[in-house]
Amino acid sequence: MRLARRLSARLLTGLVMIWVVASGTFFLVRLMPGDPVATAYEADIVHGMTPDQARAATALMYGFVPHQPLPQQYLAYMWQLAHFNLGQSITYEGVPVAHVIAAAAPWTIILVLSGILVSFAIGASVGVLAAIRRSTKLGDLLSVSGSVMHGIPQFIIAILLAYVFTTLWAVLPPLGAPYDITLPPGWNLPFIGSLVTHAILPVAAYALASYGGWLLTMKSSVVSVLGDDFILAAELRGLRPLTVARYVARNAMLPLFTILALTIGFMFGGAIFIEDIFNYPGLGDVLFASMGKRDYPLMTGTFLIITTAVILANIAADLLYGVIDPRVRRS
Amino acid sequence: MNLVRFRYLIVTVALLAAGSALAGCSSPGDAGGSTVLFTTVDVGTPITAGAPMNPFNLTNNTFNGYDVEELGWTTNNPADSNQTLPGLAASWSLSPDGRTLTVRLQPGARWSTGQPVTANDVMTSAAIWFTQGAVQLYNLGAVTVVDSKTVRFTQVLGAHNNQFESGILQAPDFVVPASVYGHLLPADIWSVIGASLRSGPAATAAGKRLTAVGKQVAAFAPKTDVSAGPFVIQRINAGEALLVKNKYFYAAGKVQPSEVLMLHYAGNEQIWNYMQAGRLDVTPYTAMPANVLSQVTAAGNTQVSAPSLVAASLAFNQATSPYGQLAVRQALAYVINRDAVQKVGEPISGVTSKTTTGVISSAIGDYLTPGQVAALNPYATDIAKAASLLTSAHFTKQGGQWHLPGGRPWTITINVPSGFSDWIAAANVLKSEFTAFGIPTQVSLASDYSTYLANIYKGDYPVAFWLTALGPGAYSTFNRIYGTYDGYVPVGTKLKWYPTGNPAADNFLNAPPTVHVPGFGTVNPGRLTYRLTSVNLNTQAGLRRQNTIMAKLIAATNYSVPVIQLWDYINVQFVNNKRFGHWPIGKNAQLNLSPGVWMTFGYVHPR
Repeated sequence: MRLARRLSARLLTGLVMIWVVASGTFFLVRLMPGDPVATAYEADIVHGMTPDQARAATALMYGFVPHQPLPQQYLAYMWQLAHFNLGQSITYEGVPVAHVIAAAAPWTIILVLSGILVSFAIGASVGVLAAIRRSTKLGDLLSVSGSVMHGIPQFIIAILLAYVFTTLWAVLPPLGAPYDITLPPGWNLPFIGSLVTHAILPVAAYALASYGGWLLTMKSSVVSVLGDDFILAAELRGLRPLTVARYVARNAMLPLFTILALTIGFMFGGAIFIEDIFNYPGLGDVLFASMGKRDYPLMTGTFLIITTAVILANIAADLLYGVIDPRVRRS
Repeated sequence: MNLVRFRYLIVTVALLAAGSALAGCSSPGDAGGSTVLFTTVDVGTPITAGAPMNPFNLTNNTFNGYDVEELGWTTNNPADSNQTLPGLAASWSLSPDGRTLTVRLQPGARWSTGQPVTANDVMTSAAIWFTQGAVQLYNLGAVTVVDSKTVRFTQVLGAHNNQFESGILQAPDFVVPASVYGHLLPADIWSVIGASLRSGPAATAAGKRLTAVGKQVAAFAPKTDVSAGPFVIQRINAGEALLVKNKYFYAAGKVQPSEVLMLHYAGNEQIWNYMQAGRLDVTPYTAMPANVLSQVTAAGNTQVSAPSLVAASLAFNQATSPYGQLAVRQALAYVINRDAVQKVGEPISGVTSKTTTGVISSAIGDYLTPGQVAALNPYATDIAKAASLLTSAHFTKQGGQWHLPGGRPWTITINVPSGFSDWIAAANVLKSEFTAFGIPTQVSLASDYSTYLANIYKGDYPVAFWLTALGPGAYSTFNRIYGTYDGYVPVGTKLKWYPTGNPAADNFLNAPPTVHVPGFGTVNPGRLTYRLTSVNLNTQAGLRRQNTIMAKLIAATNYSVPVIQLWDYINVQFVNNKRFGHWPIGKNAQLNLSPGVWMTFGYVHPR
């Protein structure tokens, strides 16, 4: 009963937060200078269309640009949102925004979720080792590696990996597609293998860029727990090292758990640098393109998905925290 | 969890992943010995997640010339913008008054389902063109089926649009199957179209209904691709598209590749990566700096050039002082070393403009006599001449810096959009040249092209980069200087003028309505440009009239310098001879079209 009440309260708060963000982004994106039709027309010109062809090609697009007064547009938008309708894209001329997002989302989820899990697994494990061996050369080396990797921008790592493994030593597929299109999709080894090999570099780039943060946070958390009295007591009582390690892990994991939940929420924003460098067509790519083309519904829809994911992840983290940590449950 | 079992699990997963990875390390085209795979990118279709396989959607996943056919293909001839190569239309004839076009389809044209392409498909497609607003520009009024392979197009009563022929035959008038798209159109679509072409409340209501149908058509996402072109899409993901040969294509015997692999790109850098890896058999026009050119050339890509009907210019908002003064614009033209600007800005895909005329340099001779060409001012770099012009306009030079007639120091801000690397590089050269001359200059970047356009149309940029000479049509060429962007907009049969800030036009140039041009008298460039829309290009008299108007516009532009033409773009493509050969080199008409169309004409043979 208490859990249900807590859940309801969290969800209500979350809904209010989503409404605030949706309203804010609705007005903010429309403050951006630029006109989607003029932008599309000039873009067609730059791509080699004659002015007449470009004019004919963009003629209908004008009908997809809302021209009512802004308050009226806002109310229509809120009404659509209440019916889980994200609206129609301007530059995709009528294709539902949800459809565009749904087409790009799987590739972002695969890429970023894999990257998060790999970086978390490596970072947390190495962080524990760095904490346990913190006064040794190994511990120092691991800590420095974490700091260095954490400081290198994502796109630098991505460019280096791309250059080394697709140009210098071409052992991985060239950049561009999530899998080899010449292979028929399905539950077969060549297709799954193609999915895996095409994802290796983008996932590795994401993981390498992120693992340093997990390492340092985990090390700090483990060091803090190792200094607690109950650990000393457990060791003095003669508990097996594995049991002690379990005590340490469960307590050290708590701060990381919240960050992990939020990171998973943010994954819907895509990894724009990595997607751009690896030519990987995910949500970051869609969001970036929609901004350049002033596709307001697609921009607000994508921002809304990111916001909702983060808020829901936050709620989930909040609720699950009590499951993991009995102290929170009792309080 | 039992650690031993966990360890076995890890090993098992790792082995599976490794096995999958090895199995996945296959190159495209390894599948079968008889596959002839052609790989390229389509500059108009970068492949976008969620986009429909519908050529009428602005963001689509279809490939013009491969799985989408037009009735004809433009040759991009500046001397005759109606010149067209046969596509789905085997032949056509235009009535002497230029108002009726009769089109005969390829006798063997069939869809990838095996069904013949008929006049009914063209009728359905033409109705869709109306819903997209694509043919009203050319005054199309009626479409009638003559027989199963012949269709007649007629202009609305009283209209004499001289772009009618090209407007019907060329993009974006794609031919689609009635069996797939027909259900989107209401039964009374032609009544609605007819009503929309009249005037009054009924026409407005019909227009709204047409737009509503058009939106439904644009948003339509067919589940499978049905093509009358040389290829049909077999599979598409967010990053690649695989097209297989359409065995029912009317010229299938000429098409040598059996598959086409289209690759996704987000920008020029991705295309350069593909080229450096030797993946692309043909690369369409892609701007690149000289160091990238040497890398892609070393990877086996050969440059192939064709004329392009577009120039890069520095434009002036003449409503902003001091750019309304002729002496100022001419002086700046004399300051600029256009060779230096082109060498840095566009070393690969540009040639220095011979002078400022509003048309590309290679097309000047199509409109002017040799004597008229010789009379044009080349604006060769002449600092002394520039200084003399400014002095005569009461500018003064104090302490090495030029001052406006009122005494204020003169500074220039050149505006360019972010991402346009050639314009940015060129602007920095101009900055050096103007500053060395005595006008402190800076370069200002707009955050993106959309913001740049919004600001330029608001009149915020006194000096900015602008594309001009956009052919092949004569009207579209000078529309960039004396048309919409100078406030002149055709409304029905009249020409209206709008000031900067009026949304009916995008006036930012604010040129004076008339110019007194030595040797030509008083010229009204806006009205003259508009007159180009009604010249009958099907008669010798009409062509002579067009040339007379063009000569005046060229002379007026050369004299009054509303823009300073910096370089003419050239269409630089790359071919890779590793896997294919027999390219249409030297055939400028075909070179401007997609490689899919080249294959239709018998080019592109595997080695």
